[in-house]
Amino acid sequence: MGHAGNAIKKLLDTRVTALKHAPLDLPPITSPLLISFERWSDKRKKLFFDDEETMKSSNVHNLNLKDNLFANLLSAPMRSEKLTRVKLPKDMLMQLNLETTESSSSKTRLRLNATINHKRRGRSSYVINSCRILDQNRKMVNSWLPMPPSISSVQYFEIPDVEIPTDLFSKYGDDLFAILLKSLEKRDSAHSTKTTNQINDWDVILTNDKERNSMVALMKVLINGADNTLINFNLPSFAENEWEEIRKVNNLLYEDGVVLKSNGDENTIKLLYKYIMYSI
Amino acid sequence: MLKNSIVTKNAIITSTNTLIKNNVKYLLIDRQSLFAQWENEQKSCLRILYRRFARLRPFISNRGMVRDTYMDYIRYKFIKEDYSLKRSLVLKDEGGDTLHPQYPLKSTLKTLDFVTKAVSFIPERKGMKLCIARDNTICRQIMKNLLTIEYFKEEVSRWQKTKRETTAYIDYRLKFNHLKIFDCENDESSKKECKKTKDKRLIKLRVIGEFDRNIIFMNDMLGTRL
Repeated sequence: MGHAGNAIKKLLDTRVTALKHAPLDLPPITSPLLISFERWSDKRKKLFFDDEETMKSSNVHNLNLKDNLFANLLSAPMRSEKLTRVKLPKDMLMQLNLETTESSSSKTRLRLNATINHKRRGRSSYVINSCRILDQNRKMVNSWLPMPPSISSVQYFEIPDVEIPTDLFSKYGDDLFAILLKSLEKRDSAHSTKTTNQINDWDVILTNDKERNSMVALMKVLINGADNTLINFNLPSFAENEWEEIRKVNNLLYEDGVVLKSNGDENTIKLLYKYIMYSI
Repeated sequence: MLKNSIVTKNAIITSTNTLIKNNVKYLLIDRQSLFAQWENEQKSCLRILYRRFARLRPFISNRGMVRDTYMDYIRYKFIKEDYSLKRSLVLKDEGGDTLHPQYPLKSTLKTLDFVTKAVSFIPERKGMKLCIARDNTICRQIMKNLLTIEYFKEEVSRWQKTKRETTAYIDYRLKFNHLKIFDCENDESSKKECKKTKDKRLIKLRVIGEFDRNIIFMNDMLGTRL
């Protein structure tokens, strides 16, 4: 090393001091690749707002959509409907999945099941939520099975391995109605005081009018000087005593109907919607 | 400032999004003049609004196909659609607010706000989540689902070359037969009529009809015209 090493070190030192004193005179960056990087970034573009105030002053207001039944239904993730192969938000569809049969007497290992509260795990398929259409097209039921398991290496099965109950859809309807009735009758006074005891925009009025044709309608009403839109569900399926019971436990009434709050009774409202669409 | 981002003069680029800072040209701030002009110059007002919708095109999606669907949808809404017919098939009232002479302008502006909400971004910090950001997410999901359905409608109409004559075009775009399918909800005589048919077209009408019906219900509650 010796002399040569010292010479190199000296040379480097002088370069560093020279660079310190005279910075490189680089031309300003003009390449659009750098100054307009947003054009090449290939990321999803969005409008940027600094804070809530600037957003509001630009006419972007909070619409409170989480309390709107229809906005919630329409914003659910899309799933392919098995009869038509059309994609639809899954909250508007009926979920089918396979469950293992417990009893040893059963010849098959698996049973097709229609779930009311959609399961998140496991494989499932989706069909239109209409009793009439499903019954008419029943002979196609084999093609409605959740497909992935049939080609999965984890659990191999043939279509004859699956038991398809004859009362699959009628049982779904009965169960749905029972759950709905329970959830309407369970709404005790403690629950009612939790939510505001007053009718607000987007609340649901449930009626039991056997004369009326439409089961879903909107009502414009003036409450405390403000224009409110209420959703009217008319469900004539309740028996006289059931309806009386529902009216008794729900102390918030509007004319002949029971009021369900848009924030607080979301699950009951969704069940109602499901049952109405199922029965059309 | 957002973490791990590249900042340029016009935008902030994060790992997932390109956030456009200069948003003036995408927003319609001065609305008073539009309301003043509406009576005499409807056409020019509509052109202004159409331009605003078209400017939001790059924000709708990264995929050209989705952006094209959006433009087809907007074009159809502005040029062809008979919204009052569509609405009257679902809401059986006399017309409600829609009879007001400025209703088309008001509802289009609200729709523009809805689409703007769907494409806007607001920074959130840990422990400080904003309700408006959740609200915007719902708008984005609805727009996404709506465009999926619109793509389907456009596609089935396109299968045959003479688009105007296809049954799908008539069903979904002109006569809205998919919304008439719910007329037999609770009426026994018409229920029987609906029962007669089993074909795929009617099931498709029912599936798409349910979606469009909910859109109209939502429109009536929010004052939009999606």
